Amino acid sequence: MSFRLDQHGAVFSTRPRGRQLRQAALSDHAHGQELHISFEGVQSISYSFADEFLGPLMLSSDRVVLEDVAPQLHRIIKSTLQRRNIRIADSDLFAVTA
Amino acid sequence: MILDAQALRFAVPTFLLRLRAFVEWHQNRGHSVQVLAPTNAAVATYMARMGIANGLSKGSFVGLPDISNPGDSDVLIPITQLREFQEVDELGERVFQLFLGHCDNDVSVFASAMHMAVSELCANSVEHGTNPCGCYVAAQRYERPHRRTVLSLGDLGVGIPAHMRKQFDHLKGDRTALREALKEGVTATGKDERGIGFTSVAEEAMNSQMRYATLDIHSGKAQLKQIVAPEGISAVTTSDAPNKFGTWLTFEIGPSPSV
Repeated sequence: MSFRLDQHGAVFSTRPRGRQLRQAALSDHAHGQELHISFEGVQSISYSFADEFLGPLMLSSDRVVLEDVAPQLHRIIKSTLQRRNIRIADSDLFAVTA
Repeated sequence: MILDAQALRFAVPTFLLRLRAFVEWHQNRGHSVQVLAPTNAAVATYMARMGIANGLSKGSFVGLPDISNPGDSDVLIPITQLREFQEVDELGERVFQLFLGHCDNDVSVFASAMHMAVSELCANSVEHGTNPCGCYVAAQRYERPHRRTVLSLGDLGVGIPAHMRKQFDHLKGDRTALREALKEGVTATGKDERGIGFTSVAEEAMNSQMRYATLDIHSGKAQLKQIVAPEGISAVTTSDAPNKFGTWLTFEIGPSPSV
């Protein structure tokens, strides 16, 4: 299943927005399947948004793949996951589709 | 109540935010408040460009010029009130596009740093400010004495020291409480994943390719100043200050050192 963030905006700021979009991403997700999240077209995210959106997803048992993450977002996501002590190799987490 | 500001010759955004908050707080309680605008035309025009009277009843500010078309202004965000997280998200989107347009040589990391500051600081203010007036925010660019962009915001909530003491009652002094609040992972929310807001702002400032950034916080009876350089946080100093109702922050970022 693939969830496109750019269908909801290009800039994401707050924890409530992260929670809302995490629930949206999970709404059509079948448990046991990989969840692909496309960051194509996303320009900026805050650490709080990233933590709220991705943190709980990464702690779930299903594999999450983040696609087409821009370099400046890549750094924020890595830092956010490190703060949560979530350690996933870049090759397992990030993918480029283009 | 009449506030006579006619002799005012200089004003910074944080002062204007506090003045606006003061007027609105009293008017919300049914008090009659009127501000006599500065006779200095430049200051009065600046206050009008900052939108200090926008949304208030007519006559709240007497003597302000009518600015119907500010043109190419140094005011990037006029005084704006945020009460809901959704408004922070909307401002974040607007601010990022705005600052993207101000980036030299397509340095989008600057826009990211400003977006991070708006997101984290305004969301903190909306969440912890817990006041019907919400959070007040404004941003301005300066060319002199050196180029910089200044984001100012504040709220009339309980203030950071009092908020911190709800969770950490050993933090007796306001300076100590303020310094503690800036540490990564320290939060009065009781949630382990929280407490990353201030450090996120500093981290993005470090990565912004700007030469310096400062975060200045006034809350309770303390003032804290954090200086961020590309190599890291270079200083955090605190001092005693006159008691402030709420929390008031100024975030500055620019290519030239401020000190």
